[in-house]
Amino acid sequence: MSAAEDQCDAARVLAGETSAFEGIVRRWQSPLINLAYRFCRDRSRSEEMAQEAFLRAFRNLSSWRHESVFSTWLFSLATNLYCSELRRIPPVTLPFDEIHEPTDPRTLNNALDRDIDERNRDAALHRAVQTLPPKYREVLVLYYFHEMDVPATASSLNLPEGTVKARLFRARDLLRAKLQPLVRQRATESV
Amino acid sequence: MNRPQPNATPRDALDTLLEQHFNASTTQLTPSSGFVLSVMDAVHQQSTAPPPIAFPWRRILPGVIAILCAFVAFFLYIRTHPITGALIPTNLHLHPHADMLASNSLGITLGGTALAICLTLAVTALSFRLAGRSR
Repeated sequence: MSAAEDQCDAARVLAGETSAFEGIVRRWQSPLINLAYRFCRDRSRSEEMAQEAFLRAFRNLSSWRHESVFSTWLFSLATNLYCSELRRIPPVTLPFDEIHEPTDPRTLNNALDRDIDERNRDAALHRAVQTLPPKYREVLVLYYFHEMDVPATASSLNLPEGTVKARLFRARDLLRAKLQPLVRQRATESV
Repeated sequence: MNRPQPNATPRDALDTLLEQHFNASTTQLTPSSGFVLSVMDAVHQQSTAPPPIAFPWRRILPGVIAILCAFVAFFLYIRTHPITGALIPTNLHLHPHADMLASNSLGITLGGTALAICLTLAVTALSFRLAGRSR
């Protein structure tokens, strides 16, 4: 994705050529929808949130100061919107205590068990992430969305890198405590 | 975006699990076919929509000026014509501390008027803020 194309399209939009915004939407629709999906895990809601993010970007395009690349500005704006939207109407979350402990890897005897456990593992992870307090969940979602890039996560959230690292550490701690057997199993598999 | 871990924290088994969970191929959504069209429709609607109606300052200004003039005239009147009868109850003259009570009564009246004006201004300012926010 070219930053020059974004800059050119943004300049055309600001000059009054509204249709130039389509290029921006085409380039960034997939990342923005996928980012929204990681927050809400609901396909139709993620498209609605992404549409609102594009509209907000269109309205506030003149506030993009070119100090950062367009994608950083767009992700920051979208993240801000998604977080406030999900705080307004949160996705369904479960209390931490209601998450069942995953199967102990030592009891896995055959392939079927492993397959079931694979699906259980993903479901358990999803539930565990959903039970995290929003400030930890948001950091975690963005950190893995940006392929474990702390500076990108920090600029998307408008937070100092130190705060992001501290929240990641705490979020991982909380998850590790809850998902200990899963983590141990993964560690054994990777050896 | 998507530059891999220059400042990443140490990687462990939990990282691998979470990375697989968040970036699994099953959770990579493809936008629906009408998404771009729907966004551009909304964008065009927004760009062609008339600008928000400006607050009618011209209409409201004469009223505000009239209120201020009345307020000033009232104070001038109070200063030039000390109130003795109208604002003071008739039986107050019989009271041993009539003078003190009369000045207290005047003070209460003026205080009440000032409070009412302040409240009006506060309510007006609040409604301006709310209207500005909703726009």
